[in-house]
Amino acid sequence: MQLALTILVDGLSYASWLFIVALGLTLVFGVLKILNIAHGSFYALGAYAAATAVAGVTAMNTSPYMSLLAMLVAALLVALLVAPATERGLLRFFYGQDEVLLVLVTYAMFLMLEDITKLIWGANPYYVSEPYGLFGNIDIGNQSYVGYDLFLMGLALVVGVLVWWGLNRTRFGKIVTAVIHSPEVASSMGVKVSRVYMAAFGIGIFLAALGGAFTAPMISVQPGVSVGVIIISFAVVIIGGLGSIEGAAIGALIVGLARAFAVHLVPVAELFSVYVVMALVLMFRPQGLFQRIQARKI
Amino acid sequence: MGSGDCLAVAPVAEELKKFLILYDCGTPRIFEDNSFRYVFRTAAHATMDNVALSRYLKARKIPVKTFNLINQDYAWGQDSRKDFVLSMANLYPEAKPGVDQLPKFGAGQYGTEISALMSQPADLVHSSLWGGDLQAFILQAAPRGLFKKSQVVLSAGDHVLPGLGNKMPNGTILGARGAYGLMAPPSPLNTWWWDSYSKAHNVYPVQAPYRMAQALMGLKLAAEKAMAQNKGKKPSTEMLAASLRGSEWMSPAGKIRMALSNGQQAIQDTAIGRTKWSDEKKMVMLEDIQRFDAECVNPPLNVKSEDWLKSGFAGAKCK
Repeated sequence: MQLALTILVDGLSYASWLFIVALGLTLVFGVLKILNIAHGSFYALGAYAAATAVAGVTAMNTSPYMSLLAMLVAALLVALLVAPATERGLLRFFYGQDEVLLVLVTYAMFLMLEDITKLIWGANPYYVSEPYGLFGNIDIGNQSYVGYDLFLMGLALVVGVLVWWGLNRTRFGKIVTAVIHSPEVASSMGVKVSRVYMAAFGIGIFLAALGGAFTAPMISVQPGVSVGVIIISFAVVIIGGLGSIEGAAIGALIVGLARAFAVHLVPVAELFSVYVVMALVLMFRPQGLFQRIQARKI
Repeated sequence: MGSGDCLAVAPVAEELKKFLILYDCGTPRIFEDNSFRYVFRTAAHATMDNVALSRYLKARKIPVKTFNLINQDYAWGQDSRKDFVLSMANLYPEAKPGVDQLPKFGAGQYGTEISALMSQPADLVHSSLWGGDLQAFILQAAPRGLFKKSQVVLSAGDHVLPGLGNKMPNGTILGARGAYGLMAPPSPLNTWWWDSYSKAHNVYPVQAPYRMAQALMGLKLAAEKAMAQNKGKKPSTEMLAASLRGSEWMSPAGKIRMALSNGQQAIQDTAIGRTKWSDEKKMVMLEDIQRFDAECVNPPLNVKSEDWLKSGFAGAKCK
């Protein structure tokens, strides 16, 4: 019973982190039909920006809770500065091209952003662990968890609900849905598709940067943080179905729980567990768990 | 640089007959599973680190009945794990390994692994994690009490001390993969190196810069010797390799001897210490430092590390 509880909490904790990042990835694919390899770089940019922002706030001797606001603002700034530049300055020239070409373009972006990050912040690690201790420790069963980990679960829930509400209960969401369904028809109805693309890409980048920003206190922020997250995020969105928010949530849960189960019971199969689940899902639902089969347009 | 890279690159360099110095990677298998003439490693391998750790525990009479492990899932982590388990079998035959975690390189998130380590607490937790992985592990494990629940020993932990500062838990036993940094033996050469590096980079040198420096010093001596034999002209690759093979030189960390694997693999003295934050110096210091002679913690010539560990350190010369 105790082990089951520990696996559940560990799985949920990991899934929360994954969900925030994977949500942006799946949103960008859903709207723009881009498999964004550079998503991990935006995650890294968020982490670096948050490290800088938290260091600044800490130096000002303000309330320690201001560091949470600083991380949020850092993620927002990354989205506001980087999203228009990359979407308007690069990606829009490739819309309508083969999806494989777009994958290659975002891969090139990933490589460039890796070096740009090093040019701005250097190769030395940054530590901003102050926010990690803000919520103390919480005992669950015989385990002591850092409150910040549980805070991230709450953050993931809030982010998920907000994105779902925004897409399903607002006028903007209905416009985005129309663009997802048919950009041509939406355009003929007066929707500025290019603005929807930019907004959706911006939200996707913001979610990646948010994931990186709120992970920064738990890690050493340094070159390479972008690589691991993108691979596991792809596993999540493939399991859930590319472009599906519900899919990203369920995919993150499945990956988190499968991984936690393996780490506790069969540690040697930790990595294998994630991809065996992905393979099983693809065997029975090649389109992922939550993506509807779509009619091909002629 | 990394153990995985070195295992892959060394045979290619040998095939191309290109002079190659591996200055940092630790897996013992590079020279034990191959015979090279153009490839050298100017630092000791990971067996030394883990033998020294277990000898330190024994010398300090630290009771160990159970130990957990967390190491990266690639050549370095797996070989370090094996060497530590085999060393402990010699010195603590009654101690049993428990939880054995092998997270992927660059995992970053260790919450689940920490829960697993704490679910079945052991007297000791061994880890060869390094770089960002080690820093993330410490930042996540320390607040959860792992370092208080178990004695944590890190085979390559010194390099995170300047960055982590007072986030580094006191009492952690660690090595530097040589007598490096805060554990370097006092000498004019070390003082010069320490001061020069600190002035240039605003941080004191830890294990990697020490190893790079000792590689360059060995290369310089070998090049000078080969040039002298070649009447002052640029030596050929074969001449350079012949000069470095089996050579010895003084480094900031003490004497380096290319003593193993037909003179291609170095051995050196090492040291282990225990962390303690200094309010006065505002930095992590190391106390209870114990040094180990190279022959005490490295396998003898022509004996594979695993065989040496299984033989009960046969032929080891300890003071």
